[in-house]
Amino acid sequence: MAEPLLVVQDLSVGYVQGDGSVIRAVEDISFTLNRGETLGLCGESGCGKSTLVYGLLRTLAAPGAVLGGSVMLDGHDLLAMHDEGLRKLRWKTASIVPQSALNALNPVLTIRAHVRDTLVAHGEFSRDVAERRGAELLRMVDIDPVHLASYPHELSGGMRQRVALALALLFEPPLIVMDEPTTALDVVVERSILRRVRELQERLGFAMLFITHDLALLMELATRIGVMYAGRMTEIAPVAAFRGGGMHPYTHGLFGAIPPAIGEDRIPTSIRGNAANIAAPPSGCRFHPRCDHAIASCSVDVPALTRCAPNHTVACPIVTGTDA
Amino acid sequence: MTRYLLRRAGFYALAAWVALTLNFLVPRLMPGDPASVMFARFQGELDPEAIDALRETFGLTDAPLWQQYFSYLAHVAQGDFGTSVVYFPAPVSEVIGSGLMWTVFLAGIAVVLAFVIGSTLGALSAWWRGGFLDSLAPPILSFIGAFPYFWLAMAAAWLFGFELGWFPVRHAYGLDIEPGFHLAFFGSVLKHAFLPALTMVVVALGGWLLSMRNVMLGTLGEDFVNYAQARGLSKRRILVHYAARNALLPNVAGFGMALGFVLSGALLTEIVFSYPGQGYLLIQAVRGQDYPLMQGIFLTITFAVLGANWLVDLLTALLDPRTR
Repeated sequence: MAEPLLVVQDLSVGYVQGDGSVIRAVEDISFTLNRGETLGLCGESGCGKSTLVYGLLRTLAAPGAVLGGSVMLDGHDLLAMHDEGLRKLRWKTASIVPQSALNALNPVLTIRAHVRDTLVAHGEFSRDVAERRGAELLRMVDIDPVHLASYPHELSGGMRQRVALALALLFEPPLIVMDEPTTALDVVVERSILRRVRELQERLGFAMLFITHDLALLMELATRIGVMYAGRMTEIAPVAAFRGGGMHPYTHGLFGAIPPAIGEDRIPTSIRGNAANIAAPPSGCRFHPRCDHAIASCSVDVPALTRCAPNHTVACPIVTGTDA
Repeated sequence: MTRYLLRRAGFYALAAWVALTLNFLVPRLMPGDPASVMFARFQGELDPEAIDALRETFGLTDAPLWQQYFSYLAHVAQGDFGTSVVYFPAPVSEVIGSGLMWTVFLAGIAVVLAFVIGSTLGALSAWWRGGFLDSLAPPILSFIGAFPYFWLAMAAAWLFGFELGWFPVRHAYGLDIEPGFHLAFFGSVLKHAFLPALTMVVVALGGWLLSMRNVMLGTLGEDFVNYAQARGLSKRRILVHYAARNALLPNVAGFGMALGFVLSGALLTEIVFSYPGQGYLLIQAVRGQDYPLMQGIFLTITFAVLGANWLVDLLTALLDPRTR
């Protein structure tokens, strides 16, 4: 059951500036995603979560570039692959549900053309197959197949995200990357789409890498959660471990910022200060300028991810008790 | 879509009516009239009755203005623009007809070629940004585009026409060839059109290239290009149907303008090569103070601009589903 699908090791991704200098947006990230599992990646805007997943799939547009590390997906070394091999692998092994389907869909092509283009790219040229598969997929995400003839601008925001989900399921890949797929939607639509995602996952058994800044949502959806701050992973653990609020001070801060739904008489608190500037990150632990528990060594030593329980790793010497 | 096109057609009909009315009013508000000019030209060889007959032909009667206006509209509707002075007694419509044919042929081909070649080069330059084509084509073509086109026409006529003798330097076809549907005539027409068309294309290329390149660079940064790549689409498919197709849309409007100005814009090129087109006629008309011919030419230019814009509306509607 716990068969690894995606193994990422020491991955660094950055953006090359005009003057040749590099902004390291993602530093030394390692994690493993098993088949059928859902790993949620969360962190505030600009923490590098999108850069991480687009970097590991090598779909990052220039000037973004992978700076180091290795990525094994379903037995393929993604970073060592030739472009053509990678092109064939894409979508069959890993697909993406983008943040804004309106921008991701070509405005001058119908939904049908999007399905057909993707099929053709992977060697399926029959019109009938495209038609049948397109209709089947739209039905899977609760959209009337007549919308195969629609253009992206003719659909509502929720329908467009459903279409994007349908496209991601085209080859039933073992991995689907969800890049904040419901961020732009209202909660009712979000709920119904996520319910459908979960049903489909149970039926088809794909693994998900789910990017969001909505920690509460991940608590329901994910099997494990990785918390990122300023390009580094601060904590990875199964959802259960986060029920108590996690261990890393940053994770605590994130939970403190979630307003209570009912009952509890608690005012949400925000983490003091501003998110770290990724172009010139703080030394040592990048969170230390905002951390209430920081000690002198935090501004010097880069904390390593340390196992503090089975499957639970945290990059903070204070909570893991590994500081000297 | 039909409604959209009809609405646009209605707008152009209104514009055409305004142009017609101005065309009617302006000469009547000017001092003197064409008949007196003609009278002066024939230096007393015409008797007064002939002058009155001429006035009649030009629609310059002593009838009230509104009556003149309606008879003018009726004449125009029948394609009757009066009698040319310079080419007396040929009717203006006939004179314009022959010139129009040559101009539409020459300048039409030149504009379409320049648009197609320029846009293709622009799209490719952006695709291989910073590559060989991108570092050579834009500066060179902008440099050539900075020349006045009649100067380039003169240079080409001198070099390839007079010095090297590769191409004829005047007329639309060899005078020793009987016009008709046979190969020798077509060959001669193409040979005569080559130099003037070449100079017009070469001068216009830079503009099309630069505007296409700039729009294309923006389009290549769009999510839908990245998303297409993530779906494993071939580079060629992405270049043509995702990037270039969308980048072309703003340029199509510019194409309409260029297409409309074809009929007047080829003026100097036609003078240099003594090409019997619309521009050449216009100069003859101005020299000979041939008001009916001038009016006829102005009207055809106006109608051509309107017609071309309507065609572009049609093209835009076909290319961009959002306008329908």
